[in-house]
Formats: sequence, structure tokens, C-alpha cells
Amino acid sequence: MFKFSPLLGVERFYLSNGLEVLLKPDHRWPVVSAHVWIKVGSADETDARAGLAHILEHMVFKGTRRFSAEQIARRVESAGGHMNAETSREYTHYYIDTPAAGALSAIDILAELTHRAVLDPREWARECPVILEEMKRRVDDAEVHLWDIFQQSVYVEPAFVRPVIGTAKSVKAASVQDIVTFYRAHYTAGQSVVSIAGDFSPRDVRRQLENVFGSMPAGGSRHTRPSQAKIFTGKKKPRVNVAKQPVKQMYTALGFSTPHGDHPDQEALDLIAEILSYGRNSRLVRTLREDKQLVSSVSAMHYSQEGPGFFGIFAECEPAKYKSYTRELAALLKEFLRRPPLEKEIDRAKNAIQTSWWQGWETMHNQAATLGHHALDGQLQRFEQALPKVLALSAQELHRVAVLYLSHPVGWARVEPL
Amino acid sequence: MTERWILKNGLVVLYRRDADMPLAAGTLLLRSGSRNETLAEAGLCNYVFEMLLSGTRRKNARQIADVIESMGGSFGAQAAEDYSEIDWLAPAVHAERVLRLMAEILTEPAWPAAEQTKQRRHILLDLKTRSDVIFNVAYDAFRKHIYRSHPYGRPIDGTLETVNAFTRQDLVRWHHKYFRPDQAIFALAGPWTNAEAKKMMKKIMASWKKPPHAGTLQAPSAIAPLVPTALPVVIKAVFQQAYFMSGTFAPPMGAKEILPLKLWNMILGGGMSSRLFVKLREERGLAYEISSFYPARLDGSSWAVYMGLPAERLPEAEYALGLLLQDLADKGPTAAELKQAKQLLEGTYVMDHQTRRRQAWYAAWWEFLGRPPHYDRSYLERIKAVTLKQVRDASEHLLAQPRLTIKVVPR
Repeated sequence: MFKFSPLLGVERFYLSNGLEVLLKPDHRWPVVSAHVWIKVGSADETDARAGLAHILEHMVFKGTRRFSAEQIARRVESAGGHMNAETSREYTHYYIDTPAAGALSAIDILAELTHRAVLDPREWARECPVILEEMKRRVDDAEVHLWDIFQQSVYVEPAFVRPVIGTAKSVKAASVQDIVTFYRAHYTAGQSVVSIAGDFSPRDVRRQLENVFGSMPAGGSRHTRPSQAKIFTGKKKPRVNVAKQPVKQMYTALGFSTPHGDHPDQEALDLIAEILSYGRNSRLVRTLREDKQLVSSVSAMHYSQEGPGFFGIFAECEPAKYKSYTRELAALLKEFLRRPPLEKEIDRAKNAIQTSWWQGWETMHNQAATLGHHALDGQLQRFEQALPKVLALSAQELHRVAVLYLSHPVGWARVEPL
Repeated sequence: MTERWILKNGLVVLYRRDADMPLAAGTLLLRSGSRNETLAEAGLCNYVFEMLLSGTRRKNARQIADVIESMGGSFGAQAAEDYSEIDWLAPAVHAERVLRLMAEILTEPAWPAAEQTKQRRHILLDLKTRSDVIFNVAYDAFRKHIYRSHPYGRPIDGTLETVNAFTRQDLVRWHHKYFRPDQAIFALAGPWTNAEAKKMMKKIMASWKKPPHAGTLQAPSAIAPLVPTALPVVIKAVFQQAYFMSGTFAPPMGAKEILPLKLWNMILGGGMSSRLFVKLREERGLAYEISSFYPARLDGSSWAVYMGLPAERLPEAEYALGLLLQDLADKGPTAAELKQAKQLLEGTYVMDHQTRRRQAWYAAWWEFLGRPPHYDRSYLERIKAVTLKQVRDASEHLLAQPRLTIKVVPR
């Protein structure tokens, strides 16, 4: 009988400067995926300094003490690898996926990016317009724009309402000194996690990590963000955000407030999202798309983080059907909250989550990314237990959680035709 | 290693063992896609594939979905230009049930009338909403001008007129003509021994009978040569960004220039050290999104550079791109660039094989192109064997062609 254990074979240790490291040797493919997670995101900014975490995600690639921007890219790509980065509210994440022969070089590059970036003023002058263009692109993409305005409808705290990318005003106002100060304050060993999965020798990799990350400033220990963020489960009038765009259909999202990422109800909320929208026979898809034909697509998701989360229901529909959609969705949710979900739909959703975990473990990238992300939040033990916990959830427990969090929406957002 | 068998019905079957996770993935490719459509049939292949999970003689759409969803798997059917495809992923313990379902869907579709109306509505909405995405606005215009009346010149969804006109008889006719085992390939990746996999596939897939009529595929219309023009196509739209796309014809899939051109495209726009990224984004800060792509097609490929940028910088971008391409045409890529592009292509290829889903897809794909089952490895050798002269010749030839430019500008 196959037993899935995501921490099996994982080696966890700290460098002398406090950098947390997770290594997962896996020799099925000659591939290595190396990640660095920095515990800083837009939630750590002020309104006036909005976008700094994301600016750094761009700027560190513009050159380090040893390598120019082009050399960084060439070193990764001449080994056959690929690198990228992302910024969220709570972290900044850099990774390199590479054929195994490029592993040590990839670790070297990641160390350069995360504590030896030059942050040259001339480079910032060139990169600022690129970020402003990225902002416009977010608005032009209806699904991405919906995501951004949806956040503004489900959250109240400025740190969560603010777009991760910042505003045109705050980005234009950012000085190189701001960027350098932010980098020095947050890109430290104590605030970071390195996670590596794939076909490598743990001894060689460990030695390389000590060589190239050993000089990363220690900094303080990893901060945790306050968990007393406001969660709204009582009845209140939802905030509505509407954007008019040159689109031909409506892009809509309905949001509910959910608790901080370390709350024990997280797994139940994940399973409820799957019950509601996994496959054609799920409640949302069957009723709204297949039977009543009100939407072209509909899905549910639960988003958790260090801070308030949300449960969202996203749909795309013809403008003429929008009112009917909202009415039917309200009726469907009311019915869902009346009694526990059926055993059959729970089993189906549990199987889907299990398959998705197995599937995720096929690639070195997903292994390293998942391990690093959970380690950054201090959630490794919980991560190990997450799938067994999902598989053990009862109908009654799911009903309790659904009633608690999904009774009163806090936000609506939609992108609609001009 | 990939094993290959041909069943008595003519179906080519490939199997790749991967035993360390209890998952199975399957890809079935049919040697027909939108390229086989006549003008009046535009979108018919896609319509057939949108309908495939809507009902068989024994199961309605809900029962089909129930088979897959009860085991936590996924099952999709989609059309492309040169082929059409069914793919699935499921826990290996349920693979036999999925195979039976796939065989039933292939051989006993019922085309229920109510489902036809529903799927037609979804396709029409997809067509109407393509213009919500700026890339689609540019690319739809690009391929329309490049390929004109050839099926590659339109979205695989077809047109509003043709999709509205399709009848049940059209679906039946397409299925009768193109759904035949001797024009199909099925690749499976899973944890079984070769003998177990062969037995299972033979038992289930042999039920797909070869029709008595010969398998003749609709010959696609010829592609008219691109008319040289200095004038760009300008489209006014209500986006914040402007969008620029410029490109031309490229040799078809199977041509000897394909690998040199893939490598050349990588040098030009395939990564963060590509010429486009370094010269136009890093050095000039012209665009956030900038790349080049080269969708290879059986009847003639195309190649294009594209970028999203502020409208006021379009002239600068066009000028800088002109210089960059002229330099590439005059001097060609360097040996160091080619070496790196080879490494990058090889690395990307190896990393893309980690999942069973991709392993099954690659096995079916190489068979589709007439390559042997061990081609996965030969492909890497072929990349290594490409010479600088081949890449320079391909570059010179491509850049000597007239280019078509599309500009999407704010209204």
C-alpha cells in the first residue's frame, strides 16, 4: 500500500547565521529545483512605500557584486535552467529549476541575488517604467484585474487592501535609498528559508550553501505577523467593487472572510472549496453551468495566509445573466448551509485532493516550493498532517465550518463591459 | 524506455513505466485537427471535442463525469490545429475504468441535442470574449493575415456563422470520418509491467473497430505566400497597453530547418539572456512582456516577436527591434549563443518529462511525427548535432522574408 509522506527523506538544518535549509534528495530525474523564500511582502510596507517588496524582486536580477544582469541569466540558462520570482503579501520567492549539473551554480546565483545585489540607481531608472508597464498589463487582463479589486472588497486592513505591486505614485516615488534600506532590513538569513529538491549530493549542496549563504547577514529571527486581523463572520453589508473594462462578459468574485493561516479550520475550508467546484458534478458547476447555463465557468477557492484569508467564488458570465447568476448562487449557498454535504461528494473531493498532492510530488519544483513555503510559516509539522487531516474530515465538521464562514459574504467584485 | 505495439485494429499503443507513484496518465492523439476542416466546417473539430464528454449510448454527461470524479481524476478532450487529443490522469488503481470510459466515448458518442445547444453557447461566448485579451487581438489578426483562408488563419473555435450552423449530422460525419483506430495513437504512463500494460490495453482498446472505409483525411488548402507590405495592420482597442507583434512564415513541422530555427528562436527571445530580453527590456526598459515564439505546424509554421508596451514608445521599439534583427541577419548568432541555446533547449526538455502526463504526451507526439519510440533520447542528440552554419542559414533565410506587423493601439 502506497503511503504518501511529504517529509520523508527531508533533511532540515540551520546554517550558523540562522538560515533555515530543507533538502529533499530525489534521484528519479536529473533535475534540481532550488528556492529561496524571504519573509517580506507587501504586508510589511507602508502606503507611501507600497510596492517596495515587488521592486526588489525586479531589481535583484539587475546585477550583483560578482555578476551583471546578463551574466546571471547566462549562468542559469547555459546550464539549461530557468529562473523566476514572485512577490506576495507575505513573502518574496526566488527559484531556479535546472538540470542536475547546474545545481551548485544555481545555489550560488540565488545567494548572490538575496544578499549581494548591487541595486544600481541607473538600473532603477530603467526598470521603473517596466514595472509601470506591468501595472497596466494587470489592468488589461480582466482576470488579474478582478483579483486585484476583489482583494479590496474582502479586506479592510490597508496592508491587505493595497495591491502587492503598489501604485504608480508609490513606485515612481521610490528612491534607490528606499530600495537599499528595504533590502538590508529584510533580506537576512533569519528571515529566509532555502529549500532544494532533486538529484543532488546532500554533502556537496550543504558545503555550497555554507560557502555562498554563510555570509548572508544574520538579522533577527523570523517575525510573525499579528493574527488578530479582523475576520468577519457576522452579517454585514458586503463591499462591492466594480471596474468597467473593454470586455464582452462579466468577471465576478464573491468573497467570505476566513481565519489566519494557522487556524485549525484551514483544511476543512480547502475541502469545502473542492466539494463546491471540483468537476462537472460539483454543486457549483452542475447547477450554474451545466443545468441552468448561467455561467461559462465557475470555481471556488480558499486562500490562506499569515493574516486574514478568504473563501472566493469566481465566475464568468454574459452580462444579461448576471442577476440570475447571483440569485441562483445565493440559493445554492443557502441550501449548502442547510445540512451537511453528502458522503459521496465528500469522498469525491477528498480523492481529488489526494490525487492533486500525489501529482504535485511528481516534480522537483513542487516539492521544493511546497516544503519551503510551509517552513517559512513554521508550518512543517502541520503540512505533514494536512492530507491525513483532510481525509479524516467528517460531514458534520464540514457543515460546522461552512456555516461559520460562508453564511455572510464580505465582498463582491466584478469587471464588467464599458 | 517506451514500448510500442500495434493492435489488430491499427491503433498504435505506447507504454512508459514509471512505478514510484500510484498514478497513471494517458494521451490519445487523433491525426486530425482544425487543419482538416473546410471553410464551412470551421470549428467543427473543436465542437466535436467539446461534445465528447456530453454523452454516450450508455451514459449521460453526468454519469461520465461521475466515473472520473469519483476517483479524483481528470479527463479532458480538446482540438488543436494539427491533431486532436484526449488526456487523463487518475490513480493507477482506477486506470482500467478510465480506459473503458475512453473507449466508450470514442466509439459510442450520442451527441444529445440539449448538450449540443449548451456547448454551442459556450463556444460562441468563447469566440466573442477572445477580444478581452490583448494578445488574442494581436495574434488573431496576425494569423488571419499570414494564413488567410487556410484553417490556421482562424481560431480553432471557428466562426460565429459556422458554429451556429452545425447540426448533429455534422458531428456524426466528422466522427465517422476521423475517429478511427488506424489514425490514432494512444500513450500510457503508469506503474505496471510492460506485459500487464499490454494485456490491459489490448483487452480494452481492441473493442475500437476499424471502419471498413479507407482512412482518407481531408487535404488542407494550400497556404498562399505572404504579400510583402511595408504597412502595418493597426487595430484600435480600449486597452491601457499597446501591443506589437511582427513575424512571418516559417518552415513546416518536419522540415530540416526546424531544430536550427527552434535554437535560433531561443537565442532571439527564449529566456532572460535572449537578445530581445537583454537589448529591449534590460537595456531600454521598453516592455514588461517581450518574447518571440515559433508555433510549428504541419502545413507551415509562423514565427513572431511580440511585446506589450506604452503606445508612445512604439516607434522606439520598432526601430530598436529593426536594428536587432538586422544585426542578427547580418552576423548571425554566435557560437557561444548557440551552445547556450542547446543547453537551454535540452534542459527544458528534460525538466518537462517529470510528470506522467507529459511523459505520455511526448510518447504520443513523437509517434504522431513518425519518430521511433526511443526518439526521446535521439532528440537530445539531434539538438547537440545542430551546427552554427545551419542556424545562421535558417536565420538568414527567415529574416529575408517580408514581415507582417500588427499594432494594437489605445483608441
